[in-house]
Amino acid sequence: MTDQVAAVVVTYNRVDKLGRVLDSILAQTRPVDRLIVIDNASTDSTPQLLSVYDDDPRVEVVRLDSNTGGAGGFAAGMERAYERGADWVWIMDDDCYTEETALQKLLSGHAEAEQELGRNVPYSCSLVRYTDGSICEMNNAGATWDWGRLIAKGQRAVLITNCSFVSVLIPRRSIAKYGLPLVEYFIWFDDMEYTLRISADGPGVQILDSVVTHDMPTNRGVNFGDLNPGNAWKFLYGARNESSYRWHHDDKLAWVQFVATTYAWMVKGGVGRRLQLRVAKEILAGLKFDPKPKMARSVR
Amino acid sequence: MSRARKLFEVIDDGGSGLAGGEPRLSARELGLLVGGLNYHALIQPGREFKVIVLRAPDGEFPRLTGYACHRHEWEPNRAVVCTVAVKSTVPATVPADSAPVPLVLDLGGERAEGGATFYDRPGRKAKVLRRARFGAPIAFDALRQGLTDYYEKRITPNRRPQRLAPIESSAPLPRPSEHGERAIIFGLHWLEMGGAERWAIETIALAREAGFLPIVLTDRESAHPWIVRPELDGALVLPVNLPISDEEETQLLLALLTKFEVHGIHVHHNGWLYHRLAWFKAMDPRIRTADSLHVVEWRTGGFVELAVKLSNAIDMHHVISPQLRDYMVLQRDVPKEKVSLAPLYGLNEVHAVPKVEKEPGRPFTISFVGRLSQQKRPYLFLRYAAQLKRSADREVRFILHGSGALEEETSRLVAKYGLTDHLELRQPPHPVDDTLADSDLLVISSDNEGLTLTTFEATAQDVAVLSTDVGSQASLVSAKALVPRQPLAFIREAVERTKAIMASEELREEIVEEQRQKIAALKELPEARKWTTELYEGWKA
Repeated sequence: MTDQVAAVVVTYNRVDKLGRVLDSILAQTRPVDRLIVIDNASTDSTPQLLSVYDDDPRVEVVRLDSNTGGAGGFAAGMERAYERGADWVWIMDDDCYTEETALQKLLSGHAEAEQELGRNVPYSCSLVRYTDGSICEMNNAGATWDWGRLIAKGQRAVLITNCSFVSVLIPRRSIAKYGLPLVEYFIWFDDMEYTLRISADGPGVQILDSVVTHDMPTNRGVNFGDLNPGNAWKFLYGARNESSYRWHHDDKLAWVQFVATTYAWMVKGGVGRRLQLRVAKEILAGLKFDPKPKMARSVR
Repeated sequence: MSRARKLFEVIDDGGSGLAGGEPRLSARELGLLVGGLNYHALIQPGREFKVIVLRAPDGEFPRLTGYACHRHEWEPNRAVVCTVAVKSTVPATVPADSAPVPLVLDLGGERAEGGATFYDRPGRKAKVLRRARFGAPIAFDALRQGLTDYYEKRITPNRRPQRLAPIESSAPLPRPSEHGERAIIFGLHWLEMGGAERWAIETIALAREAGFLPIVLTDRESAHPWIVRPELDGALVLPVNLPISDEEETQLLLALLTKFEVHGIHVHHNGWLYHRLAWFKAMDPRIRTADSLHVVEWRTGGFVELAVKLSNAIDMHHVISPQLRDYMVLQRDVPKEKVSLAPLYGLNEVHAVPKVEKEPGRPFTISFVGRLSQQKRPYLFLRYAAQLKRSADREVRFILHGSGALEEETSRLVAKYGLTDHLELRQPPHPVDDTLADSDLLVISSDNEGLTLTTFEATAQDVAVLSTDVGSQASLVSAKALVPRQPLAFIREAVERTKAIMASEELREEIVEEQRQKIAALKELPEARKWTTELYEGWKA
């Protein structure tokens, strides 16, 4: 029997881009067997847009009662896909346009990497471009020390330590062994934590020929120097989550390094004292905050 | 008269019933006698046997093979029921000695069930456990479940048993030319009531339908009450009492290989046979091997762990639930193509019954259906019922339907928890269908399960199911009605969810609807009986 692939898209008030995202997924050269859309309780016309897909048996829309953030949405979607018996779960944001061979290349690249490395690969991700064709700053995967190992063998793939949830293909095995993303993170660092967690037996891969476009308002990476009262809520989650991860699951030196870098970025970016204090508070909150992953149930 | 295959001719039946007539022995005893005689006829081909047949008091196990049969004294409480003389019809390769072999076969007593629970064994440790278990059942269970949690989270994921190395090369044995009959060997614990045994008995009948001689080996002590089941008609039943000497074991294994044309081996629950699969495969690589797996035993590893360890000697693992498939393939790295998921829903053909309008104004009715055993935890159901009765704002009625080892404790707790006027005890042969027809909610409080057949039956009767989240229950039960296995959390959450269900018929119907959808999805998978029929067809070649 062929492997079942379920795509998972988490959306929140992004009606202008969502249709194009879903259409690109449904037009893959290697078709998805199921497309699960998690509507994080959108307040715009997302439900009306999604009703267009009512007749497509591949599409399953799950509307959550409240906005659970990216972490909650991805956990819900991956859990649903796992319960539906998916062998692979392909996850992405609601502003990610996939090139038509993105999935095909991910699947073949993943298999080739496993064969070459002689072990299970915990996940694979696409190359993420910005709308102008340049690299998307927000979605650069972290390379391992031996990142070129597969390239040396003629493969178009790089070994990576972590990546963001923009076109990531996760085999069922990783979900069975390591569970779901941490819902409690709500937003930011949930993808980093998850890809690091599932890499316990070896790193993942980035398949360079599998390409997607991340249609963000600006092409900027995460930088605590950009913190301002308008966007602080995201950074505060990020500070707490990364602090928690570094303290509880990395090493204490990495935590110190994270604190020092965050402070340096804020000083460099001219972030005001009040915001700096709020970030410090969240970093301290991270020391007590250590949620445990929920495991997925086998249903089908 | 036993309809099982006989590998001997009767010289003198001694009134046992072996040759027909008015028997001194019950049908079960006769089945055991035939089984014991078959064993000895097989390992000593062509020999004549003079057999003293003993009967033991109730609760004593039979002794049909091994050292006990060659001792010339017996316990004073054994009665000599009869003596019989038989001659093995298994062809001897060398001329057999003409002197009869003396044997003592002890048929045991009635009501000797195998598999004593942890507190039901002899010794001081079991005595302490028994006191703790029956003195404070819920607290004791909380400790046990804590131990299970520890194994599930910390020990099992790190278990890395040394796996049997693959058999790289072996040459097939020449098939027996004259007397070889196509056979499948089955391995079971015992021939008595149990989920795995019920399925094993079905597969034995399927093998016979496919034209094979079923050779049924058991390795655990039991009175084997199911030895009289019609599915075993024509089968060669060998109830083995372990240990047997190395010499006898060699004779038995070689006789199975050389006197029959063994095409396959299907292990259900039989540790002895599991450990000899590699030998069979190495002796004759044409023999196909399969096992059927039912539940993950977190504390001991159970047969699933054994199957993983011996996987290189097993061609196909049949699993009955998605949870087991994922456990084998994803957690234990058994190759996907060697694991076949074929649920057992066909064991009980469930037909949707017309929806019966419940009597208006009747109390909300909650039932427990199952054996009164440690695994099903009836005491936990009773504690939950007591708690619910105290806190529910409308009248509620309970039915506890079942029989088993914990009957006495159950009756005692019903009175102790003040449930006498609110709970009805029902026992087989009262039909389960009647109980379900009277119920709004079925509660499953087990600490381990595969796929519960009662959930299929409840769904057909429009009954919502609230269950512990164990085994593959998530494949059948609504996510809204799955509660933790740990007893205190179980009571707390089960009471809360029951109250929500009692307050909303809409919620109850949503839960039943989800059960229906999940059952429909399961039914898209191959059904175990059909899958096994095809497997045996493939073994004909």
